Amino acid sequence: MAAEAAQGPATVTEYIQHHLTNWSWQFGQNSFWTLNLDSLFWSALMGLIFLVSFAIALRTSKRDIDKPPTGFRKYAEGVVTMVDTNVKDSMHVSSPLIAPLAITIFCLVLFMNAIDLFPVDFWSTVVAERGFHLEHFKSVATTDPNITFGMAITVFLLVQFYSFKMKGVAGYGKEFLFHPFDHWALIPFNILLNLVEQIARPVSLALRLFGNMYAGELVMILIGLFALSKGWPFSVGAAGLWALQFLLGFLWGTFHVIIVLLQAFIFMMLTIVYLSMAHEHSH
Amino acid sequence: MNLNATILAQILIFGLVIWVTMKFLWPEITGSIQERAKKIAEGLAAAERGQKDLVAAEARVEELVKAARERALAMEHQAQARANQIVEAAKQTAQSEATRLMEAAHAQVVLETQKARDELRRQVAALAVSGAEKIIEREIDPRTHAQLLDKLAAGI
Repeated sequence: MAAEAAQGPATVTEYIQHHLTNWSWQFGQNSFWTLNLDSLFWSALMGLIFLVSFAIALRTSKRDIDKPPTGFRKYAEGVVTMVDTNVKDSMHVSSPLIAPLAITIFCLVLFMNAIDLFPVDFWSTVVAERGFHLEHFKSVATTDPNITFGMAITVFLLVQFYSFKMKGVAGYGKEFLFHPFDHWALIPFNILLNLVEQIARPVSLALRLFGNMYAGELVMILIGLFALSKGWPFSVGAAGLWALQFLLGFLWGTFHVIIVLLQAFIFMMLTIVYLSMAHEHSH
Repeated sequence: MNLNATILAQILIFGLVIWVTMKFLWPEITGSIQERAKKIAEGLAAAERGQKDLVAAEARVEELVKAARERALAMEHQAQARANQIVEAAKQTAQSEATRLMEAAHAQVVLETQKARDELRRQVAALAVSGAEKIIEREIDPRTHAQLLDKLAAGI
């Protein structure tokens, strides 16, 4: 496909398939033992960028403590303040975990989503395929359910851990058995309800982010089909299609800026809410 | 949607980033923010203190000016009173001096009159004696007729 893409336009099916397939490595007998290297690459890279950029901003902030913040430091402090305010608004107890977890989630999801604002062919075709001869390379990690489920399951595990830690086995067990209906006869029903609630949380967290980003990416790919196999505009019709693709791409991209930000914020807020519930005795 | 071992790897990566953030980044960030917030609060407090000091100083100035004005006014009143007093005293002195002078003059006049009268009496007596001598062509001893002469003089 690399040769095809370099030589000329691909068919519609090929184009879509090319953009929706991960760069993966199967290392076990079962197909479960596969790593989506592109998703993990972006996830790790964004984690690194997050840590390094905030560490640099922090160092500048410490050095120029008397000066008003400029450049990236301004944005870093804005994000920190935003996260801190949101955490403090929804929490009644202080926790050493929630705020750092919230800022990590917000920044990681935001950064991974923001790759969606690059032209749809840029990373996959221009950089990976032509530059590194990789057949498949998905650029938006949050369109990979493995990534979103990975984060949602991490949040789920942290919620369980802190529920046990803060309420104790007895307290958490009691809540599981006697909530929401405080009657011994309804214990099985309560267990069922709580199980569903606990499991629905990570699933909805993961699927919400994945669905939004996947749909957005798919629309971008579909917009990219307009001028596919048209080459450089030689005819009036092809020029029109190019213009239409450009316009639609611009509009959808502009709209997508909001989705990118909103999904990161929603993921963060829900995590804060779930964890603050884990810290409190009744909800 | 093919779920695979990527989930586990992602949990590891994500957990690692969270751990680093929680352990190293966040405490430093909040510490730094708190420090800045403290500095800003201090600056604001200092500004407020300055404002308060200014207001206090203005009030003090006002007070001082008021006191000075009052004192000036009091001094003026006092001076006025003193002047009046002096004028009054001068008037009284002048009055008494005038009275005294007048009385003295009067006394002088009375004295002079008395003197003139005495002189006149004496002269009248002498005249009377010399007249009588001429009339009776003989000398009268003024001592023998002193009683008579005195009676004459007193009669003038």
